[in-house]
Amino acid sequence: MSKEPENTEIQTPVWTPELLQQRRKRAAIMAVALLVFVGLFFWVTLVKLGVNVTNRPL
Amino acid sequence: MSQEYEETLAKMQGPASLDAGSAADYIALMKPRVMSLVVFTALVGMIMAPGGFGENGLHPVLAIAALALISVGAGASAALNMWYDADIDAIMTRTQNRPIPSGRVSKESALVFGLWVSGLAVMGMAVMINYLSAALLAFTIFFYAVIYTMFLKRATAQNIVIGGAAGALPPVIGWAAAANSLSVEPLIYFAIIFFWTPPHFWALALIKNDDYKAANVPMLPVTSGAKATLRQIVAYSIVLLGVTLLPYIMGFSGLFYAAGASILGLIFVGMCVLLAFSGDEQRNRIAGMTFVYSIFYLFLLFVLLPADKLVGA
Repeated sequence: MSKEPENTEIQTPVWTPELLQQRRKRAAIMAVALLVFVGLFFWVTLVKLGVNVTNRPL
Repeated sequence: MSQEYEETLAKMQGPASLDAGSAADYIALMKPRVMSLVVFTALVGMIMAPGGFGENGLHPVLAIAALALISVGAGASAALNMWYDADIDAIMTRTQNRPIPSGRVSKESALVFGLWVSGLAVMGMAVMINYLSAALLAFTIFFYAVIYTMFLKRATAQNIVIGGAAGALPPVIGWAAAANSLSVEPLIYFAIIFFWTPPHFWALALIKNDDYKAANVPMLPVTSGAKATLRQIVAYSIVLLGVTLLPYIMGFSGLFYAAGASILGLIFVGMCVLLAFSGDEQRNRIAGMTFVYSIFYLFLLFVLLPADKLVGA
């Protein structure tokens, strides 16, 4: 019979409450950063269009 | 190698680790103090460009966007630097507490973060500002993260001399963002930071010589010793003084700038000479003072440039 490998245990990381809280905080900050980026895009678009933003058939 | 170092390496390369990094850790990955000098020099590049923030210049909203993207791009390249240098950061006392060696952020997360943020910054620059500034930002990130970090840093004592080009580019990017072109002036601002970097960094390397030696990083004090480094520091400080006067000599700046740059530069040369003649006991203290003054010196030089424009207006 072949010998079993000594270490077959799969090391699965565990989400502790502290880690989950940390992840939630990171996600919230990432969301804010993305919103700022989207806002910046919007603002820059308005600036680039300038007065032309109203120059279209209604 | 020490057991502590082995443990740190194991922590960084361990089995599928959960990322315990806080938002503050990710901000630390971006080296915010370096970012602040980058933003400031880029801002001066923008102000000095034709039109500046005037009627024919860059709209303030576009200027804010460009500065934000330059700072984020610089931060992303710093994250990539920390990803690649995690092994040597774990050895050096100055960098042991960084997010990766301390085990708070995994190497993989830092790499993914750095690549994504780099991509966003360059893409944002191309879409919102112009292609020239986006290309320069991409080149800066590439030069710092790949050429300097991966090749030069561990290969040659001239690492920070050549690598200094990455830190010298922000005013050029700022100029390109505002003018969508390049000329001699931004190249002089580039030269100022380029020649400022070696004496600034070698002053720190003298203090942290043992760290660099332990990490096997061939900084000039490690490869050539303190005496040769001190000679180079003095030589670069004198060349730097000459380079800082180029804006006046070439007629881009007035007497106000020339007087300020001369005084600040002579003080810097004086400090470097003092450092060169200092005894072993005093050397670290004077090197620390020279390092701190060099930051103050560069900051004031870049204050003088737009201030001279105001005075001359």
